[in-house]
Amino acid sequence: MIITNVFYRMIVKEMGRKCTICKPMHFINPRYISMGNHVRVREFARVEAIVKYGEKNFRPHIVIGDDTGFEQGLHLTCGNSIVIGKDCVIMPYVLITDLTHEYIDLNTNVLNQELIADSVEIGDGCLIGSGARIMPGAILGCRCNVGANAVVVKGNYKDYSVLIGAPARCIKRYGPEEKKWKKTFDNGDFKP
Amino acid sequence: MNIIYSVKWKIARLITLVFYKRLFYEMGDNCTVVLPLLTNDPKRICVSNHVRIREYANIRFCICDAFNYDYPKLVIDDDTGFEQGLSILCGQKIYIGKNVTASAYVTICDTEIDLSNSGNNRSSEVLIGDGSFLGLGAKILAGTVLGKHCIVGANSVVMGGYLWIIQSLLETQLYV
Repeated sequence: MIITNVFYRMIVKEMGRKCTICKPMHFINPRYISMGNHVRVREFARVEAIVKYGEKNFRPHIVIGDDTGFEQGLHLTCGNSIVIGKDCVIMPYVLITDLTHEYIDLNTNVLNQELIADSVEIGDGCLIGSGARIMPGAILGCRCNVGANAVVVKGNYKDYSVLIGAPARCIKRYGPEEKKWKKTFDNGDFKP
Repeated sequence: MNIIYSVKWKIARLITLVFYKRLFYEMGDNCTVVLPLLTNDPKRICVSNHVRIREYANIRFCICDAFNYDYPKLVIDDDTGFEQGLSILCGQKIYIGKNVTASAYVTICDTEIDLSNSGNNRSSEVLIGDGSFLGLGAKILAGTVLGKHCIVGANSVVMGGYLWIIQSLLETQLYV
């Protein structure tokens, strides 16, 4: 925590009070990251904001809300925008990315082809299970539960939903009117 | 901050030239192995030109056939890159082709551990074709034969032969 306050506070764009960053593996272009109060990032995190890739320029910005905690092995890559809300709990080995490689020309390496940037939003109070992958274009509502090893692909996901599987589908949602958890169809509508 | 990591990468390249090049069975030019690499038998790793292996790779060899001295063997061809947390369990032969891009936390395994007491671990070759892309957290199990330009989605488990099918999680398309 002392190292965070002395060293990392200088290089990130914005940092609130009581933040902790434990020994990241990669921390590239941290000046595009703004954090709220009491954000914890554990070991082996790989946080990258990509400004230039090949000949294409990007304008990344990463926003992390208050009281959000990341466990070890976080992989966060950003080219356009990643917004993570307040009170999120993010378990180990989670990928959050808004970048994909184009794969049109089969004769060149994938890494030499263009990058496509989308945006990712994670609402307040989400719980993301260990090994889950949040792919580009995923927009999660508030208080979503994402199961372990789920792959959340592009799409809008409603508030209070429970997402599992690859690609992720909604199995349960909290009904605000009945005030209990109800089973849903894959798209998030309640079953009759 | 970016300068620190580019310096770190250059140091890793230097360590690879000085240290890993002698340790491995064979190594081409321009390779980079970033330091924490766990392996029990570096003499069985054969690496070609411009291969990148990032942090925390774990490459394990287990001997299934005690009379065949050539195997187990790991062959990595030109321009292949692995991100962090790669783990390989090799019992017979794993061949990874040219221009393969593997994301982080990929597992490649060519042995099936026998759970009965006989102790015969069954192993079959794993071949990954040229230009393939392995998504983040993909698991390649024993006997997989991936053809050229296959795309494996994030967190998917692959087993068996996919010679002519380009598999994708986001878009399922058939190519002949």
